[in-house]
Amino acid sequence: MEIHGDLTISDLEKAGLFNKYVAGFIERLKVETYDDFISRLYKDIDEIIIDIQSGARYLQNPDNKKEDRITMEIVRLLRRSGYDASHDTDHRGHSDLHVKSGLTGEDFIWLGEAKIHNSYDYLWEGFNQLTTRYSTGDFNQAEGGMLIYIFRKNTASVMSKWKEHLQTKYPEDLQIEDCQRRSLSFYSSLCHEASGLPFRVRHMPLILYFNPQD
Amino acid sequence: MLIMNRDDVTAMIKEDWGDSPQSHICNLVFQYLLSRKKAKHITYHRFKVLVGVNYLDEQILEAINYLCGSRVNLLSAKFEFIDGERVFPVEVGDVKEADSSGELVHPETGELVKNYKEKVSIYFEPTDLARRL
Repeated sequence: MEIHGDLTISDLEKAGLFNKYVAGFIERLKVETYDDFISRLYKDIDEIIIDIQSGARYLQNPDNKKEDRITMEIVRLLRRSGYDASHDTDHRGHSDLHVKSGLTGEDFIWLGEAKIHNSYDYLWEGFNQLTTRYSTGDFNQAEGGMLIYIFRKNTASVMSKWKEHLQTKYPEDLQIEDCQRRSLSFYSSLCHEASGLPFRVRHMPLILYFNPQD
Repeated sequence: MLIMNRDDVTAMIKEDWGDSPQSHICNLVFQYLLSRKKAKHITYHRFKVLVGVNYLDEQILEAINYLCGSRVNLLSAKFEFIDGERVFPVEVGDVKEADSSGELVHPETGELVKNYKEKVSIYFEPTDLARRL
């Protein structure tokens, strides 16, 4: 398609049908609240996850920097979508993923922890860092995310066991909620120790297992 | 990274887009903004003319989206409702309301406009940061 003359909302929506990064443009322009920001961000992260998963075969070699390299790729793609995203930014410690959007004059912040799944205790360590070290839990950073890079079989089973692990750690306080957009993801909520407000974490797997039998 | 000068912007564009078409478009638009700091109404068509015929709309839109984002934030996008020869500014909140109801309230007559997506245009202006650089 080619756009002639003024750029209308209709033109942008049509252009978005052919390019998923353009598809989010109009919605990004309409972000006014933290909820708007989070809703759009999760759609953008899901698109990025799909892109990275499609290149899983290039991520199979042993590499002790793999966790960082995948996270850097997520940062690069978020930046291309317009987010002020960074890796290892010092924000009450060095979080893996720091995403900021400040178009309305307020800084909306989302923090992410990224872990290659080796053990549930390793994931737990990241979850603890996210919820007790990096985030304040204030109104402008009321959510965070766990990005779980899974090179093993059966991502659904890993996520199910991870959910159980979390519930064991917080037998009373933790609320679990299904993700309506992507069934492999889920949300956890608990009262943030620092702010005393609810803090929601989206747990998002990346399916990176690749073992073709042909 | 805090943007302190023009070189910081150029470096960020290079870091994020490499030598891609979007990188060239971003740089062309950036140079244009530096020469039009007082501009208040830049249309998408103006950007298309500026970058020439060698780029696709989707590449230009990706670049404009990037320049409107928080990372470099050189452009601010605004909405306007065009009714024949008359043009009315429209707030983001009005567009969001129209998205929910399926109709935009005509800014002057109060009538409900169903095909508002074809009548609401987006234009751009340099941000305070772009004017300072």
